[in-house]
Amino acid sequence: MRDKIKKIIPIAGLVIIFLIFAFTTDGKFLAPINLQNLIIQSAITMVAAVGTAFVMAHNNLDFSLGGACALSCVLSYLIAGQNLVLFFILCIVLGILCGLFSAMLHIKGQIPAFMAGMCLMFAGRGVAQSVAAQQNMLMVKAASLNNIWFFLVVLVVVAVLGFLIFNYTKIGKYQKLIGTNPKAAELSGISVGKYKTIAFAISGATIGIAACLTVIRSAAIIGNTGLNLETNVLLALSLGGISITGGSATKMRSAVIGTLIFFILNNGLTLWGLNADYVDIVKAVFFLLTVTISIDRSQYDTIA
Amino acid sequence: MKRNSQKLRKLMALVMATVLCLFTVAGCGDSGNKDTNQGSSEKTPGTENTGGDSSSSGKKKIGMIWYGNTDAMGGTFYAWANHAAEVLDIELVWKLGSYTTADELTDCENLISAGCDGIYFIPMDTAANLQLGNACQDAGVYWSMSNRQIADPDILATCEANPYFAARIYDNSYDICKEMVKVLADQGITKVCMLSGDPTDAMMMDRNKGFEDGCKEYGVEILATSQLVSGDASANVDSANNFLTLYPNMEGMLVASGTAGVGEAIMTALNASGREKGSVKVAAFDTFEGNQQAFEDGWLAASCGGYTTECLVSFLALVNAVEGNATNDKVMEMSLSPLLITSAEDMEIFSQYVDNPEVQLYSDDLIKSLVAPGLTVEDYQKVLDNWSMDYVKEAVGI
Repeated sequence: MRDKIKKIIPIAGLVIIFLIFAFTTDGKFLAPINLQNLIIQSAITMVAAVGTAFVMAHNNLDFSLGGACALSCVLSYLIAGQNLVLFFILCIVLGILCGLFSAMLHIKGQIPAFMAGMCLMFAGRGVAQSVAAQQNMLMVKAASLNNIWFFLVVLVVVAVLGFLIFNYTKIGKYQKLIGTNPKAAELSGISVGKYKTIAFAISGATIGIAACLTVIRSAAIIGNTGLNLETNVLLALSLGGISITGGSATKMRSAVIGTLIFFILNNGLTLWGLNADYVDIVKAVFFLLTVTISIDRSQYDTIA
Repeated sequence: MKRNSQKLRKLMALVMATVLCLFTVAGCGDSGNKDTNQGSSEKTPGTENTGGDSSSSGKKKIGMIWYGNTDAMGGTFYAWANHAAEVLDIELVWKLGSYTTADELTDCENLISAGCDGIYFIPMDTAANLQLGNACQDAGVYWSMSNRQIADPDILATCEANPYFAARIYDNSYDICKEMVKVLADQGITKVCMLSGDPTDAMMMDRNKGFEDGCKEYGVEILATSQLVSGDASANVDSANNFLTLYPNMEGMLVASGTAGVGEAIMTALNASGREKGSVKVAAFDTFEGNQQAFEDGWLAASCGGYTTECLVSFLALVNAVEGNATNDKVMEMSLSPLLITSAEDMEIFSQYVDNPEVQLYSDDLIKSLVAPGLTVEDYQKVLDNWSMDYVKEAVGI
């Protein structure tokens, strides 16, 4: 019963804040333009969260997100310049390479994944800031894609693919198995290293896509591109009730629900016109409550 | 197998329902044209305004995208704008702490949804002007910015063509840098080293050029130049130490920005150099902790700061446009020369009264006078031109 309540809390929280803002903002929250904005605003974090869920499922954390995003953007720009199609392809390829690099450090180098990710985050941020200090990286043409349709299509494709791979393929199922009991997974003949690497590659691919969306939103690449992406993603996943210890309790829906909670709260508090001094306090209290109630702290013995 | 098939069907139904919902949302109304192609929107002031909802309450609402209210300038403008809002009977909605264009754009969209009639911001980079400007134009909401130049000519042209762009103000860094070189030259200094600013930042380029041209004009030789590393105190200490070691004939140092630990780092290097106090004179853009002591010790010869005025004037020009008082359809372009500080006494006055949230340097009457019909860009520029240490002294009754 307690477990059921815990599982319901994130979705209940989402429904509750949706209804609260729907009924207390004189229709501003439900205005089509506002809902469209919400979809666009949440896309970057949600896309990255979908990939990160694969890494979290095998009981790891990927802290490279913001730095890897910046690194993908900068290197792609240096190679592709203003060629948008090539830029987007390179962003995704470089994102995957970043993921593989983290995986290599973690698996071959026996370095904790969060530490490998952090190194990549600092390196990426450093490269981005150094290059940004030397040249302007405006991508004005990319801004023409800053519309609901583009973001919606990307979001739906990534979320559906993520859901299907996570729940209906070996790749997703083995992540959960590894997260539940890596020793048992290994003894069952699963190549733990290989499947962890695939998870990091998927995470890297979503970072690359998030990098493309970031550039579309920003129309430029700067030293701060992708700033706080890792924090936002991990917070969103926690709000969505993801299992911090990975395993069978990890659900892909956490990425969608958590991200929506995160951005709806941000949007709704602005619509309320809440004093800026209190906004962060309200957010912190809400996040703490949701995570305290919903987060899964147990280790699971079996796979759902 | 059967269970899996049922699960898959349920999943597909769920996915279909979600997609349909999302598409319904996206398709509702045509107000969501977020196409941000340059010059994409054709809305002009006086036509449909989808942004503000002030007509019901009668009180205009301004969205303020601001970096934070905890440092001297951030806190002071936060206090000044809130006070001005009270005086003008308008409502402010603040969004604090956005440091990327994407975050500023998110704030802008949310503020427009909240019914703001105008948006004020400091752009995090040049592209932010384009993105936020387009969002405002699409919604029929006025906007203004300050403290930054628009470096890219194409973006500048697009922004200037945006009929909702009310005002832009940038620092007149060039002239003040030349002035600071003159202060050094007047003290007999002929050989300097320079810690230059980021060459891709339009504002820093102005500062670098101001120092260089000032040196040419006043017969000062630049022995060496090193680029500042913002926020990395040890790197800046190294640069200062390198100057001190490699150029024993160096008499002065020009610093394009003394904030973010740079000024403190240079003073640390000078104090540890073993040179006689005041034997090297520093002219540093921006103020920093311990600058009064640096003046008293003779290390610091010139400094400058105080940009809050341009934020306030840009904000007031925006309010004026929102109130329907704008007289021309062109963006008002203005500039502000920061305060030149050349003595410990002036530094003390600066520290005590400028960028102090407790001190309102502009009277209620002056604030009211800047939101009225018939005002021109010259009226606002006059307020910016009056910004001087003398103005500060008079305002606080010294």
